[in-house]
Amino acid sequence: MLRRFSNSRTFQDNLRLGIFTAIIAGMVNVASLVLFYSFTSNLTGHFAILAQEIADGKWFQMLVVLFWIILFFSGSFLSNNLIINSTKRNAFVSHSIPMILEILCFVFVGIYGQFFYTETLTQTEILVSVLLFSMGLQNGLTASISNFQVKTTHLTGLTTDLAIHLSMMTKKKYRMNVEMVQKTKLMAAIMGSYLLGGIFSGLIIHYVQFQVFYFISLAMLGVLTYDFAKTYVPFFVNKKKHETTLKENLERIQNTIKNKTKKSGVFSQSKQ
Amino acid sequence: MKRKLVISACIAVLTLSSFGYYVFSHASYPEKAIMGEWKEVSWVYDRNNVGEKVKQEIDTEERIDIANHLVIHEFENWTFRKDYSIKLHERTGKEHQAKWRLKDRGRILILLNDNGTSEVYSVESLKENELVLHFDTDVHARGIVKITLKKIN
Repeated sequence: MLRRFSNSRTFQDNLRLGIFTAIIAGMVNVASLVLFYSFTSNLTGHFAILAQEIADGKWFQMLVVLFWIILFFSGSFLSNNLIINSTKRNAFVSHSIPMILEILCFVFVGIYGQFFYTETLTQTEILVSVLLFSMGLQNGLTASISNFQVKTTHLTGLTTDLAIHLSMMTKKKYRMNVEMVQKTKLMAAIMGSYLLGGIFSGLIIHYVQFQVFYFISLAMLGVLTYDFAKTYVPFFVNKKKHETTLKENLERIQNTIKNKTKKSGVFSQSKQ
Repeated sequence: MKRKLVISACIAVLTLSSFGYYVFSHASYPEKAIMGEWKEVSWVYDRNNVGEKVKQEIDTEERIDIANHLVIHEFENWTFRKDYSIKLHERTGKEHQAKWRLKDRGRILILLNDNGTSEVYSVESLKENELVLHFDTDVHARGIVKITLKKIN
């Protein structure tokens, strides 16, 4: 899911990545809405609020919203920076770092919320900041590695794109276009997954409260482990296989040389 | 090149942290502003009847009708305390204790009652001497009620 980059990714890679990260985004957004009364996976509303706060002259509230936006921005910036600075050899590690940081953010929110949160305004705003940063990381990661095919934290653009694609599907020539059909499927899958994640989070949040962030972290850790195994296990298996073959070949060559030397030795002795 | 990158990253983290610290050291402003004693001065529907230009006042009887599921309809004075407790009281001595919380940068006010129920109000405006709250009722077309409170202490 995370190994391949940009154009080397298949449709299946993007589909898996889109479904998984959309579920996470949906879960986080509903959890933050229930726990903090704030959205954390989309920024459009925050931009509107920022404008309103500026117009009302509420400077400190404006700064809070501005800080949230900057954090989301920083998350995406950091993700992409890690990806563009990675080499082919350490691609998996570089692609995993944003996800590991995201997991750390969720674990922090989970632990802080469960044991230290007293529902003050400052605490709420700090936890929302952490979640916005994590969503920025996720959006930056998915968009960067999928060559901007997958964006899962907000659905405004996606809904528009899906509507456009579906309207194009009414014409046969577009229905025959594999790339377009795949893109439509991908967008529909992201939308459905986001909704599913949100519903699931909404169903369990009243029972588990902040522990929902542990579930999310565990799921992400599971995906990372799966991807790690997919990346490195074949490498080690192949390495072993390669070494065995190399050893066998070497022995064969050595034996041939030995035999040749023996033969030429006998020949030279018989000549004498 | 690598050194330059590390220095830039450190500067970025430091700047962001300082900005965050500054912002959050002032973030509790709405919590400070809401503390004190407030008195209700009006209850009106946020939407007017056709042809009316003045907001329709909601009288005491109607308050009971539309807000009988909320504790606030019985009290006119609200005292927000520093320890996040709130006292809703009347001159007659009748009072109700609950906990208060502000969420979403002070745009949502939540009253947590001792019986585990909670009431959510939207803070429309919070000024030095005026607090305007909105809450949704079951009266569909005219759902939103606007409560205005003045600070008295």
